[in-house]
Amino acid sequence: MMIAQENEHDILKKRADSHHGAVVWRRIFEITPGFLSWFLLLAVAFFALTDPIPAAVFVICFYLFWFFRLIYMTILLVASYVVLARERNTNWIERCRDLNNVSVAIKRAQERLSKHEEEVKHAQRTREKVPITRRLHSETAYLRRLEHLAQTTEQPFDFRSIYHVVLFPNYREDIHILKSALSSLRETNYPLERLIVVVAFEEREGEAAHAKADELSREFKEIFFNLMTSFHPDGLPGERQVKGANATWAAKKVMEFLNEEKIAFEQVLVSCFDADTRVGKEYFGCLTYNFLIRPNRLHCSFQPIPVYHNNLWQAPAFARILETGSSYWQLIESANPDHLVTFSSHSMSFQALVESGFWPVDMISDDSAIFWKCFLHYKGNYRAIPMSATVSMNIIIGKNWLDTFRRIYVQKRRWAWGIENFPMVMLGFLETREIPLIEKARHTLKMLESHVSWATWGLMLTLVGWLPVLFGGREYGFSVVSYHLPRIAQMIFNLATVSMLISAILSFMIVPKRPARVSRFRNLSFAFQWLLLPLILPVLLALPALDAQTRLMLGRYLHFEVSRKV
Amino acid sequence: MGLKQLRNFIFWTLVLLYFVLAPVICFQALGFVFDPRTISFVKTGIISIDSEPKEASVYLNGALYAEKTPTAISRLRAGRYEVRVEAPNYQTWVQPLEVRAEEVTRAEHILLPPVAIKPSALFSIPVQTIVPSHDERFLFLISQDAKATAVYAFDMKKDRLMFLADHPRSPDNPIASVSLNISPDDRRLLVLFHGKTSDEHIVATISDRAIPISLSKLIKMPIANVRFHPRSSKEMLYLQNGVLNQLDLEEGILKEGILKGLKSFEVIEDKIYYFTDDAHLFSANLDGKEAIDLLPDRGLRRLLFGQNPRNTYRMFLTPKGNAFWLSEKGTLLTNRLPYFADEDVSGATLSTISEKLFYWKAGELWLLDLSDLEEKRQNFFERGPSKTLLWKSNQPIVSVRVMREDNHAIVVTEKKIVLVETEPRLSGNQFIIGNHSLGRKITFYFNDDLGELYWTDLQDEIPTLYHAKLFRPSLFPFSFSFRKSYQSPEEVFL
Repeated sequence: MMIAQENEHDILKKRADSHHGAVVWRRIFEITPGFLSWFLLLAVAFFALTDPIPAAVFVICFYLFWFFRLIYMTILLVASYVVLARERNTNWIERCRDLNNVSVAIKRAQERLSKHEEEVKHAQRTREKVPITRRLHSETAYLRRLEHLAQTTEQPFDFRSIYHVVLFPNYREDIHILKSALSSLRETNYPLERLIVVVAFEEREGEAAHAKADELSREFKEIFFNLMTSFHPDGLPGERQVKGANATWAAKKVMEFLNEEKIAFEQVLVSCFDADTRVGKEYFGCLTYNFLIRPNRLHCSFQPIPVYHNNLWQAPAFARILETGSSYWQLIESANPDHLVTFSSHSMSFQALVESGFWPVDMISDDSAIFWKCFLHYKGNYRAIPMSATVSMNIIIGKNWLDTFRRIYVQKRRWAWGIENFPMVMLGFLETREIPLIEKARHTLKMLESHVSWATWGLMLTLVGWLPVLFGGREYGFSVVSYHLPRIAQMIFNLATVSMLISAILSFMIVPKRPARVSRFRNLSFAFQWLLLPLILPVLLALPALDAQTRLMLGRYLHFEVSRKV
Repeated sequence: MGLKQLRNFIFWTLVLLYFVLAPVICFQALGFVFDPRTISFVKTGIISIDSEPKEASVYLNGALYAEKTPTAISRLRAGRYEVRVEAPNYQTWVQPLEVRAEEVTRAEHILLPPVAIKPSALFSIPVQTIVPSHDERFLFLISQDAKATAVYAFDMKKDRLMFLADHPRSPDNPIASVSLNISPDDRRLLVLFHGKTSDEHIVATISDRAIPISLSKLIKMPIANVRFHPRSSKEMLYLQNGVLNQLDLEEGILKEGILKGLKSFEVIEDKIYYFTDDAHLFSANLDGKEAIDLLPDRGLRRLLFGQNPRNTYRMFLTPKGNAFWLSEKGTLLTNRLPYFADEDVSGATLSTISEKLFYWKAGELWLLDLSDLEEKRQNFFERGPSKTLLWKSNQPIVSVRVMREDNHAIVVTEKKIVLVETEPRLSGNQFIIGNHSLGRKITFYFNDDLGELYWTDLQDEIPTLYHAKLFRPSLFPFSFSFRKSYQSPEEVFL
């Protein structure tokens, strides 16, 4: 087992910087995304003012492009939702147990399948048919997977030998939020003696952190295989005040513990969760199953669908819609695993974490950076696997609407700062010849396209796209294209409302049950919240992304700001 | 087919669809149409038609078009088309329209007045003249009978008449004209009863119960050129012996000598515009400071004052700050190069939404478009001001009111009231609203919000206020402009 003592990111940096002109290349890659976004927006604005007819034609092409992308994304969203809904009641532990004897498991699955087919035939009402059909489809997919496993020579581990390390890096987090997260672990159906829970505090938090650690130890120590607390010292060389540094420190403590306990890293899965992350009952079962069935399991990250349901009923509409959008985005991404990159709370093999040199200690977007580090470390032989499980987190709520608005903006900018991975990945691609060129091109395009569209679409759709109409001038006002542009836009937007309706319906299907103390009228605001999209798109989606890209472009690097969650 | 294959199939199908549809839609949007006869793309144009009332029938070169208004007839080859718009019980609109390739010919502001307009008399009192308030809520009526000359306010929304002020009839000093000056907040009204031997200035509050104040009780007379302070309706600026003073109506405090050597002045927003004794036009702050000579001597002053010995002007200021002065002798000047716009002008009025000045001379209605002027600035000296003759009549025009949407005007000649289209591309169309018998003495007002026309006419030899509904209410929603246009008050002769 190779243990990387030095941070991989630093190695990459050093290696790249030693290369002639590496600094220049780094700056070029830092500038590229912001430059592309600004170029796109300014070019349309410039032409709208100087030569509006080509600008109008470009806007029509863009609207059509956006519309087709929307159709594609809606299809993927629905497909992912169907898979998620299908597996909602799956007993993953049972399936993990089945893997010990695949041939027996196949027989049992076939029996269950026949039973479900019979049930579907006899079901009278749609309400009865839907859950049975879901079970049927789930069993069919499971059977196919078992049959595939039966053909492979590699046998999975016994799931009972798998340990889960659950990390909660946090800073000044409320004790109740931490307790709530640990309680959700306690309520899972996974054997708790296989869970190693680490609450990672920052030393700079002071005495309060130690007090919280003591309180958590008293309450949860005996429940798990081990409950560890770590205190990350401030100001270690090469580190910035980022979550990754805290997580890395904690993971190294876990490594020592595992070595002491003589637990092989390859049997350990590590989940790095935000402090407010609450897992579902079946989370670890689902994770273990997905881990066990992969032949290349050590070179995989596992991505659940993040949903923001912890305080959904308390959050204002604009905050809700944004986080629902984040969940949808992850659902869409999970439908296309070839392009999937880890985001927020995720899990991976502990061995891969150690071999790749842990989370970067100087990057804000540690969640996606760790994927890219592994991808580069394993020369492209690394992928993220979507899980049919959700983890629930908090929506940011401030003291008032304005404060909530500001905090959400800051959070989205931090997410969009994920573009800091772009120069790292590009330099890694330049250095790593073993990754096929087509693979590099695919990932480069995907990264650029997703970040540039993030920063520009909202502004193009709501503001810049209308510039030819607003500032086209008299001559443009009499052109045929000036007549057609608003009508084409209207037609496209009308058709796009179908996608919005589907999103609204899905959000109703995903949303947790309304608490008794919440007014029934609150349901109405869930229906109408989607009307806020034209406002939210440019202000809380495009602008933070453009802000982040501009900062990277200008070399004004972002500092980590913790999202306070209520 | 596996999930991955299905996903790829959907993806590539959508990509293919995009690359097929995008060029087709773009070509269509640019006005290109495929002609199978010549196997080539032909450039076409569009006629966009909208009317009030909606759902009117459209005829193109005599053939009924399938859709009713609002509609657009696309894929038209370049050329001239006769368009007719008809609705039952409304007058018919007919206009030959030129269609150019890749262009939209817009006829989107067609107003069809009813065939039968029924006027009705409003009050039993005689009404010689009407003047609207800034907010167009009130109509001020000047009524002269055997006993007195009185001013009333008519609340058009509440349909209520309020007495404001009067001046008893005196054989020694008959009232020849009345000038009304409304405070910026539309709360107070200054009435100048201009008598043969002396004037009386009365400040009335627009309310049922308020008692009017005579300025002669507060300040020495005579005074000239009184205006409300732009920021306060309780303060007034007035000219006395060429000195500009300020009076607080409620406290009676007088501030004298703000400016000196003035012939006349106007107050617009935070500026005082004034002509001096030596024929300069200045602007200054409200406290009289930072005076700027607006018309440096380029031979213009000779023109200004040579033609108008009384130095009386009406001033117009467009929302963008372009100024016009109309002298009593009919010389129309602008502060834009080369200043001089036209002469023998009888009257002028401004658009409230664009940089357009409409003016009339004899039977002609002209448009001076400053936005057009700005576009053609380079050739300006060769071509002169951009003027368009909008409408011509064999009867002299008495007055014009441009509707809020800018594309129509109610034009009153010595005998007729006519609705005229003022959009230069479509000008020429007219609809007769009615006849009148007051000649040059007619006054009228069109309320855009109510769609109602008010005018004075004789009823049993007594001048009476009439009104008639022309269009449905709120046809022209409130139009936003950063700064309202300004027209100085006009003296109305009785």
